[in-house]
Amino acid sequence: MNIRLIIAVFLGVTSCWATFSMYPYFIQLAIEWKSGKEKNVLFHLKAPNPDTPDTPNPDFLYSALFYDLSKGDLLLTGDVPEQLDYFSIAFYGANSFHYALVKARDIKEKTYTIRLTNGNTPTQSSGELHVQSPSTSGTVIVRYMRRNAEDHAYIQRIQQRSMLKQLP
Amino acid sequence: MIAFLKQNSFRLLIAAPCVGFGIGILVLFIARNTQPTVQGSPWKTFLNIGSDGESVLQKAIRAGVGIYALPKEEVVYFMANTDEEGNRLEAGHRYRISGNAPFTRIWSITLYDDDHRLSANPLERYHINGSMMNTEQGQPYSFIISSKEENDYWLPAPEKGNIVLCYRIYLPPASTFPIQASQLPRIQKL
Repeated sequence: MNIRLIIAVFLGVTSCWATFSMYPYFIQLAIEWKSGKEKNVLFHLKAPNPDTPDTPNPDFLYSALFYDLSKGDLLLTGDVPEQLDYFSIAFYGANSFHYALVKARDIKEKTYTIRLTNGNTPTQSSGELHVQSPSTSGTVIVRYMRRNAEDHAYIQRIQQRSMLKQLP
Repeated sequence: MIAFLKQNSFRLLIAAPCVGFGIGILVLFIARNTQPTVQGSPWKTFLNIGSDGESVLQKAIRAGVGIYALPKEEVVYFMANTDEEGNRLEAGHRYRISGNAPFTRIWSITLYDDDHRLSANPLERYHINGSMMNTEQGQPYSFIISSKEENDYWLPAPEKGNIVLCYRIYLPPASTFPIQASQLPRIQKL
């Protein structure tokens, strides 16, 4: 068998596999680009309404963040919405794959402080959760379950109190 | 054939990555619509989201059809684009959705258009959930999907085009698995 043929088959199969592996990265980049949002800025998605019904899931109100840890860690703080049926903070890597999830039932206090890092971090301080990102970039999605108008107003107050801080 | 390949092996070397890339894209395109179906129902699902058993191809497909999904311990997602007879769900028809409420406090059925966008409507009603139906766990529920106002519980559909339903069970108890068709809502064309 010609060695070039063997190499060609190998290249073909590898390229096909690489396409599967790279596709999620491409989708992630496309979503970031389409959103027009800056990196390391926490934003809140509007609830669906007749003009802009593009919220992915009407069960939730969302806050989200496209992060870049190349300049340092990020500190995410906020209140735990105790009166909701569901609240979670999900972390996705540069390939859009989920790698960590902080749930309301994991947080003992009424507030949370999460340090998002991609490298070695100082000793964990009391009450601070550390989330180790597998990549320097990715996405954080905060989900607040909304069942009625009362929940809606409550969530909006909680969202306004959540903060993101860039650490040196 | 072999002789031709041998004669053109250098060109083949150059073309192979392009062919591999093309096949990869084609497979992803075809696989988008071939999620596993729960036998005996129109509902499709990925049950191994975020698990170690998820292959590179499954992850790639999921990035295309359900990016930022939560693992199955948090939510189980089911999608349906056909009724129980296997016919495409179309906005111009009326459908009855019925079943028994799952054994969890939180569940919902959301209606999307063919592009997986919520369907704009003046009622601002995009889904039906457990609290709207006021149904106890395990108890029966039923509602209508229609583009015209109904007397019964109803979910507004657009005037035309195809529709897709997404059934979500949040914080599913262990007894939810393995998923069987009898646990999932029926989709009957009226």
